[in-house]
Amino acid sequence: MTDREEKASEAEALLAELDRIRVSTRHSMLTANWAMLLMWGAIFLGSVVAFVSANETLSFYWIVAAPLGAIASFALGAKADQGASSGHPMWPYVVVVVFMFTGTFGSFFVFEERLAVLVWWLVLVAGFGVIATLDGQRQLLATLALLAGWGVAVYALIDEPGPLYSALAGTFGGVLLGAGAGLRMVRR
Amino acid sequence: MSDAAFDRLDDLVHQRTRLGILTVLAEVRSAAFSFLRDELGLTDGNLSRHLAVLEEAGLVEITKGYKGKKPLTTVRATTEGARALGAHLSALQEMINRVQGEA
Repeated sequence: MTDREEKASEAEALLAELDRIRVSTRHSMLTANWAMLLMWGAIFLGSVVAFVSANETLSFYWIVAAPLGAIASFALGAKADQGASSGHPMWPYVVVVVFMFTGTFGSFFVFEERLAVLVWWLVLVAGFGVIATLDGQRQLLATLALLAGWGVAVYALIDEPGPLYSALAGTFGGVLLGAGAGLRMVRR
Repeated sequence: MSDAAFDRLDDLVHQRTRLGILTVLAEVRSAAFSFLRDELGLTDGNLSRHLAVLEEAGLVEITKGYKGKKPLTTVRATTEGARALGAHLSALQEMINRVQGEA
């Protein structure tokens, strides 16, 4: 092996190591969000419990839980930023959260109940999709696209808005809890 | 065959740990000292030494402050640091391509 070949081989190994560092840094930034996912998972599953126990409590549940969850999310995000800041400005997240609140609540005033649950679901998934894009986590978009498809499939299968809501909110809560627990386990 | 790619390798940046620091900083806007230390598996002393070299060269900016009562040191790459990393990675890739082209 010539001197040039040896240097090129070292350069290849160095680039591979830098790639590993890059992936590891992104991984650390992503796993910092585990608490936020667990919290939202619990909130969504809680909404199913609230709905099953007394149908009319659901809107009150969300009127309280959604703003509190959003405030807690921003606080958890700021805490995660203490390790490493993504440097993203806050305003696009605020715009997305406002869009999600308006879209999810508004759908029940605009559409008949069963269709409103589907629109609620699609707005929710789209909002999380925009957040995933803002965070540079584009690999999550495939999962969210699957969830959007799942919502449409469940909508076609379930005729009653109540069970439809329970199925979708339960799915979302379970996915978020699973993702949060998974990220917590792999976090160093 | 020109050795331009070999010549463009900056010894200051080419050091493995310093390249690692600049790579982590390229992924974030700023990082706490502890975040960098844990990501790169370094000791406090080792990281401090390399950061001092990078700071003196104007490639990183170090800010010492407090979060509550705890001291918090944050580091971010300067524009010059980001440019130096990009140029170095291009030179490494070019070197590999040239040698592979010769084979």
